[in-house]
Amino acid sequence: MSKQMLSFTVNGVAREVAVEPDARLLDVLRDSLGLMGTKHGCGEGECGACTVLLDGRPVTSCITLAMDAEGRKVTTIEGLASEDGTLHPIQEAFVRGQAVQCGFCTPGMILSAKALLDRSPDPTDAEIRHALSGNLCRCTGYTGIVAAIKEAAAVMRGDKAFGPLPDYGSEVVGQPVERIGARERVQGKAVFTADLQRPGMLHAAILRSPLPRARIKAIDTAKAKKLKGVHAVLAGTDLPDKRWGLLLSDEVLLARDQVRYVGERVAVVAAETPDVARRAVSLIKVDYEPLPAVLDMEEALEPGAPQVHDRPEEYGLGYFNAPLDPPKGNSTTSMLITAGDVEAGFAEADVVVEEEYRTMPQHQGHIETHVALAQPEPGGRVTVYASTQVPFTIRHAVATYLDIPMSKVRAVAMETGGGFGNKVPIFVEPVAAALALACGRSVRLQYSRQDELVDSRPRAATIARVKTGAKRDGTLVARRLMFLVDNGAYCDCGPLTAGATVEAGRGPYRIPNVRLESHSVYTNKFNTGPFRAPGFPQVTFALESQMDALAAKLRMDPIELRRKNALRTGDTTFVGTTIRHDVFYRCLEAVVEKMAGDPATEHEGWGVGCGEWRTGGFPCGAVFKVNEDGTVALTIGSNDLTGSATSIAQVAAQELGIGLEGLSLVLGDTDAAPLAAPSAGSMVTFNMTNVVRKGARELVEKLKGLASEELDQPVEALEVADGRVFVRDDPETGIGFSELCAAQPIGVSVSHGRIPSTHAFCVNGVKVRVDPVTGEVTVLRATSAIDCGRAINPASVHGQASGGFVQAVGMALYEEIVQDADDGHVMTQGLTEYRMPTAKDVPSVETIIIEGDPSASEGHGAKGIGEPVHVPGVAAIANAIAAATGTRLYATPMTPERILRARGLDQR
Amino acid sequence: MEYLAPTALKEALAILRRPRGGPCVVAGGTDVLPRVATGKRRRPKQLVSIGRLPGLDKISLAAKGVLRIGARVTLAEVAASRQVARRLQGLIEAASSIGSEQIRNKATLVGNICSASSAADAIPPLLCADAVVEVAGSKGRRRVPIEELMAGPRKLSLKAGELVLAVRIPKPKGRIGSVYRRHGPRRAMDCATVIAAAQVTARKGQIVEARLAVGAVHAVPVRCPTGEAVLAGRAPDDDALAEAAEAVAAEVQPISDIRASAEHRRTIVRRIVPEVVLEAFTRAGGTR
Repeated sequence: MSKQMLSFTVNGVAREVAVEPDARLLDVLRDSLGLMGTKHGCGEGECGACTVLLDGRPVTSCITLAMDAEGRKVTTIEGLASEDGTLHPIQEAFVRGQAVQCGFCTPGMILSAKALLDRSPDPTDAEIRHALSGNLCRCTGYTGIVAAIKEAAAVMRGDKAFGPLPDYGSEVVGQPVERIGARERVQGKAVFTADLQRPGMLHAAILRSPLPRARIKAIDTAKAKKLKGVHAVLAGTDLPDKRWGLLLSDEVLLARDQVRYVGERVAVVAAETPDVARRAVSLIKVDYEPLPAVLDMEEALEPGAPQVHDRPEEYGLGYFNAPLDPPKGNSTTSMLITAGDVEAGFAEADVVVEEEYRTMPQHQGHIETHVALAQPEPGGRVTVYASTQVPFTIRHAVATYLDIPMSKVRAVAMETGGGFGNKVPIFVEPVAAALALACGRSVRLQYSRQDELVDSRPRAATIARVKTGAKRDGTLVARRLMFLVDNGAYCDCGPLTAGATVEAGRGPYRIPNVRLESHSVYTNKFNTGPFRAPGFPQVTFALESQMDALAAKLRMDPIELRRKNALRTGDTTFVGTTIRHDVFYRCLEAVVEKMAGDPATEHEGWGVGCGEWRTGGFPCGAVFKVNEDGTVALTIGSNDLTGSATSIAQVAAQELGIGLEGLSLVLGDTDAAPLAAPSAGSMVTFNMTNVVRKGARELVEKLKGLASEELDQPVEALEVADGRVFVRDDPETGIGFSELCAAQPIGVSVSHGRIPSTHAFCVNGVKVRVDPVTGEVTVLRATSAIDCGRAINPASVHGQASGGFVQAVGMALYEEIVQDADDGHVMTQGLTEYRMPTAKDVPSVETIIIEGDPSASEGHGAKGIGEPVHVPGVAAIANAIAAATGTRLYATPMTPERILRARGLDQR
Repeated sequence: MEYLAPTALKEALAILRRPRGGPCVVAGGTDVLPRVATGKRRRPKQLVSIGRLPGLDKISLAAKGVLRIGARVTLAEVAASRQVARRLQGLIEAASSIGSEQIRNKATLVGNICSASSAADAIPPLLCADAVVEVAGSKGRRRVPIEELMAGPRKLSLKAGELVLAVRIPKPKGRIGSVYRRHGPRRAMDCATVIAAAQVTARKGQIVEARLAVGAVHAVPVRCPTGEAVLAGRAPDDDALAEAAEAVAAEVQPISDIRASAEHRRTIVRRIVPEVVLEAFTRAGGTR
């Protein structure tokens, strides 16, 4: 096909480009013109990350033919700031209003906002949400974005001006400091993995299993290898016979003898274009012998069920090295916690409720799909650039799968467009690395949205059977819980999902007699994995729904029931920490106060959900180096998806007595940094502020020690501020870091082992309206009270709470990866079918920060908050629906169909 | 895939005479391109853009009060049109609830009709309005009612070498009330689970004529003649509305898919028909 000439104006400049006739505008902007601010998120016009303005109107460039832009004007995010670099007011408002987290949806969002404000200078919240409803954001929950657009509108109308940027000096902890990198993100300058180009770079494609379980008799790759432009074709037997996994080393990179789910990776190709790679995949022939499969987690536990793995007890421990009993058949883990005498407890109960709750698989929905670029290096090394939460885990998995020492692998975390757990398991990067080493060229593997839904690591389906008993006055006396987690074909984080959850099986209440049990189960379906507080939203849906059901049976206000049994000051949490300053009760009361001011009317209802989470300690290191001019470089191995680096920098800068300007951060490079907390489990801020503050203190001591010699003063007499060491009683006498550094290089490398785990509560209050005719649910209000220890950056806490709640709205009302009952294949193949909340589906979230119970982290007692803010939302929505309709739902998502059926309105 | 953007109708029709499965007409491309990209539609040999054909970008009044909407008119333009608002409020509601701002800026009304999708939002109100499309072919022009244009799900009854130039909405006799209502879990970006449209003429407390259509229920959007017959000449009291709802629920043959079961679709139809009819009656100036 011959190329055609396209003449159009891009950001005010006339451009002429030769393009393939069927090229998408997105690809021409990115690949031909190098305008990388336009992002690829779904390829079907559903997510809005690729939004550009065509003659001033927003369009999705992934479904716009480049040739359709002939003679027209295109504006991309790169065209918004003035030539002198001054940001457009919308960009400035996004930065100041903390409307930016990962930054992947940001360029498209800002362009949609610009088109709106150009035609409607004073829009209402509803108009803004309508205009943004084609731009999905999975991090912010839209609250900050809507506020920022209102602010920008006021500035653009001339009603107000941006004030000077606040100067927090060196006392930055606890301040809403601007997110590091926000200015680059609003201009589309943040570099994500797919923005990297390498000479001679190849593209990978994957052949997937069409069957839920089958023996691979033969694979014929000859035809694929012969296709022009193909450089490598690999099947399972071309790789070392190695298994890997987060908790159990049970997964192969490419299927060897057997396939275990529809969508499992069977063979991979590297070719000169994505198109050639896909064509090559279609030329690979596989001879399968179908085997009986098991698709239902309860059936999988029955005697005689098909066994997903032949000898699972032989698998070794996984990456996290957590001590686990070996799997027994299809049961990968069993957990049992007992306390008191549960039978006696139920015998003394006046009221007992017993129910079963189910949740369906939910995708994390990060707008940037999985993507990795592997680059061969001299000496047989390979560098893997990736969209990830865990560079060190990548290095471990690549080294294991390819059977090479870790010294041969470097993993670099690029800017990452959301992860929410799905970028913790490793299944993309080693494929790219294997192909790159096989053909000696850089290889990019980029997941499509379909790949995401078919073979990533979504939230597991669960069944929770709960029975709770109480005295007539509401005192809880006994609980029995059986919790089943559908792992899918490999373990990944199933044991963790099933294990930690039962430890929290009492909920934030005193229950003396319990029997809490869980199993994670192998089935012949896609793998599941960690998703924002693995297991907790699922089990909390059951536990907190049952609290309301119990209250109803007791004819008691559900808030009263919670108050009566709540963990109070001095009580011990499931993590083992002791509650101070009554933080749980205060979270609850803060939400109740909001509810009281806004009573529900007809067809409306308020619901409450109470959640909690354990943030674990993780072995971490950090390296500080003083630069010759007295500024400081801090190198850490964690990377930043949410704004955590800003909090870490705040702690370091304050301790060192330098402003944030004097500190630079190097993130997520396994060659440069010591091991660090994964950006998962709410661990980064909690762990990294601890080790970083420790390091900063050591560095200050070192600087004081050197200054003490230079100044001939005792160390105790010295202070540090503004990049110099000086005598406390004589501040004129001092010496700059740069002078100290001139004599010898100064730095420290610090580390900590596992610091004691911490715990956080979060309470949601949600008001919904349920349409009496159709069963459609509208979320009218949402409040979130979060026990965060110390809010290092309050703006960041607000952003997390809003985003965490809106993700819960998705799980509660819309989202389900639908799998075929016969073979488990995924039927929701794109974002048209897999529906995530848009700006129009949710209200702004009101966040209440509750401090007073700091964690053991030396980093000012910060707690992990990313997970807890997501935990109670589904339960709160379920309770609100029950309050509005008088009917309880026992499965997610709570669709109009399920609501009408539960209410018995489906035949009327 | 070849991209062709003819600048004259004759040229376009000549291209479209190529064998079936070859050329595929695109206006905004918001339906065809994602379906090709995700493998839901075969790759056409030629993409034939109508973006440069003259005379298709207007909403205009033709003879006998017919409102003519050209094939290049976008949903955003339809949604913002006062002429359309005066004529067919339900079409405004349909056009403004399709997809997102980004989609409505590119997708065209005629494109939505020609998708012949079960869930094409604009079709039910147009069915109620007895709208026809204007088709050009080698033997000149002909007019085809939308019902006849749809040969089946995602299938048109057009012959090779034919192109839809516009949709024509006839002038109704007297004042009408036109309503469009969609059902689905989300409030934006949703492919509807059920669409219902009504067009009513009223005299004081009585329905003179009611037209009903549903979308996303059958394999293609359809009129509901049994329900319409129930309502003609009656006052829209609860009995009449319930009877009509039952009649429509009985006559539809809903599809079942991952969005909803057939039963749920039937339930929703039964439950929203009274609302939709009553709202159309009120808009028609009727008083209950």
